[in-house]
Amino acid sequence: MPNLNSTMPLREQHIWASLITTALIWGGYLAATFFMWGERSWGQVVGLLVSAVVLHAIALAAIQIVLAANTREEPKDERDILIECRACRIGYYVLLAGVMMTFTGLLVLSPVPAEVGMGRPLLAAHVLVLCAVLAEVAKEGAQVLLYRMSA
Amino acid sequence: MAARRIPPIQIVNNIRRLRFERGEMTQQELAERIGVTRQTVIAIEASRYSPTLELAFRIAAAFAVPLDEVFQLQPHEHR
Repeated sequence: MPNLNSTMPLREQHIWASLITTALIWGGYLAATFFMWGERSWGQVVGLLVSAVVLHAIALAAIQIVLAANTREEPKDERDILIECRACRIGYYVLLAGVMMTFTGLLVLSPVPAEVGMGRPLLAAHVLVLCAVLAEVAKEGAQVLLYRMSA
Repeated sequence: MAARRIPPIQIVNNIRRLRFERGEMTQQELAERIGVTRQTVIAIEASRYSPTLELAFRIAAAFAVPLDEVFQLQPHEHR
């Protein structure tokens, strides 16, 4: 395994770690929820959601501690901020597209049938969580790509 | 009134030469002097990132030369 400390600055390592953590934790949460839709109670879903939020917070804190202990942190400069702005714009478009498709799907094209189980609000909430996760992954993926392109 | 079409240009720089003329100043030393990361100096030096006007002036000041000795405009080369 390559030594990341010698080849990649701390900020890029942090974004990579955050990208992988977001994809794994929230991808796992959404897979567990969607594939067992109707088999879980409201309480179980809320419990899973809280677990995902806590796990994500712990993972991000652990990553921050481990990376900061091994590498000297440098303040953000204008290039970091520009890359973050461009990546945020890409993430915003992904989020906007997801929200528009969610509303179109749920309200106009195919009303959710009654047998969905936990009901339309919970389904809509989870589709929106999926949109938010995709937007975050798109943003962090774009950041990594933009850093590599200008490296 | 239609906007006049401006031919594409690119910004080139002499940072590498200026660093070596200043006692082989490292990219890290220059980065610390102008308040950016070494990765940003690498990106500017390779013309993969165009700095803001403020940073461009800070780079020129770090070498104690006028701005146009560090950065020049030239017609864009199609690769």
